[in-house]
Amino acid sequence: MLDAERNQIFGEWIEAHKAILFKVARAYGTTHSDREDLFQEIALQVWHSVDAFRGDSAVATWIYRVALNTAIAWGRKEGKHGRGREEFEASTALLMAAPDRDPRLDWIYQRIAELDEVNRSLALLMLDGFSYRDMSQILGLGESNVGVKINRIKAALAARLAKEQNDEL
Amino acid sequence: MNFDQMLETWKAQDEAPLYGVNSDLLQLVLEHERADIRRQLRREQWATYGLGMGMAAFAGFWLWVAILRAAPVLTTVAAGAGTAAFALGMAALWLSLRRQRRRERQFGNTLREEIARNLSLLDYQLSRFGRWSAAMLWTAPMMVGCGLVYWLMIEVNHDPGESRWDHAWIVIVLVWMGVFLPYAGSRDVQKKLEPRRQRLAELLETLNAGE
Repeated sequence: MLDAERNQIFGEWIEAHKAILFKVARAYGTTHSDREDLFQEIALQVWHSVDAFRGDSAVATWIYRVALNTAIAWGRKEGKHGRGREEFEASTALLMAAPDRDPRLDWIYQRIAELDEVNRSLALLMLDGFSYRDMSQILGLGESNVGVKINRIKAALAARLAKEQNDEL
Repeated sequence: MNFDQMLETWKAQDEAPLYGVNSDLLQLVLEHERADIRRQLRREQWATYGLGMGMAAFAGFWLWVAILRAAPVLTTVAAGAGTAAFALGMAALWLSLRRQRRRERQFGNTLREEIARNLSLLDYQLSRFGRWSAAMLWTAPMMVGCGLVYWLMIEVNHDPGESRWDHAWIVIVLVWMGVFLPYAGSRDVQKKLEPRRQRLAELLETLNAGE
C-alpha cells in the first residue's frame, strides 16, 4: 500500500473514531502527559495496522482491538513512555482538553481506573455497547468468561452507584 | 446517577469528545515514526549481514590466496574453515530470524494472541542472548572465523625474528569478546527482558483464568 493511501485511510479512521482513542487513552493513562503519550502510541499503532485490516470486522471493532492491545502493552513498557516526543516542543500539546466536561464522566473513568487491565478493557467495551461475541473476538476470551467478568463489573459498578446515591441522601 | 444515566453520560462523549487533536503534530509524529522504522531496518541489515558477509569474503580471499600459492594443507583448511564459520554464522542468523518471523505471523490480533506474540519474541530474544551458553554459541562462529583469519595472517606474513607471544594480546581480546562479552550481555538481557516476560506470562494467565 502506498504511503499516501495509508495516510488517507488513517485520516478517515481517526476522524470517524477518535473518540475510541480518547476513551482508551483516558482509561489507561494516569496523568495528562501519560494520556498524550498513549494517544500518540495508539495512533501510531492504528497507522501501522491499516495494511493488516482486511474488513473482516467493523472498523470501530478493529480500532478498539488495536487501541486496547497497545494500551495494555504500553502500561508494561517501563521507561519507554514519551517515545519520539523529545524532538517536539514540550509546550506543543497533542490533545487539547474540551473546556466543558461532564463531571460524571470523571467519576466513571475513576471507577474504570480501579479495575485491572483486562477488566478495564471489558468495561470500556461494555459501556460502548459491544456484544459478548465482539468482546470475545477483540480480547481472545471465551464468551462465557466474558459474561462472567462483565456481570462482576456491572455488579461492582451498581454497588458503587448505590453507595453514591445513599451518600447523597 | 443510576446505571442508565451512566450509560447516557458515557455515550454523550461521542458527540462532544473529551479532547481535540493537534493534527499537524500527529502528522509530524507519523513522519518521524516512518523515517525511524526505515532507518532502523537499514541499520540492522547493514550491521548484521554486511559485517558477516564482509568477513566471509575476507576469509574467502585468504582461501583463494592459499589455493593459488599452493599453501600447506593446514593453511588452506584453516582458510576454508574461517570462510565457512562466517558463512555458517550468517546463515544461522538468517534462518533463525526467518523462523521467528514465521512464528510471530501465526498469531492473530486478539489481545491474547498479541500478548502471546510478544511473549514469543521475548522468549526468542532470551533464548539467543539471555543465557551465557546460548550467547557464546551465537558469537562462536564469528570468533572462530576471526581467530582463524588472524592465525592465517600470522602464518602468511610470518617474521622468523618475531615471537609468537607477541600475538598473545589478540588471543586475549578474542577470548574476552567470545566469553566475557556474551556473559555481560546475557546478564543485561536477562535483567531487562525477564521481568517483562514474567509480567506478560502473568497477564496471559489472567486472561486464561476461568476459561
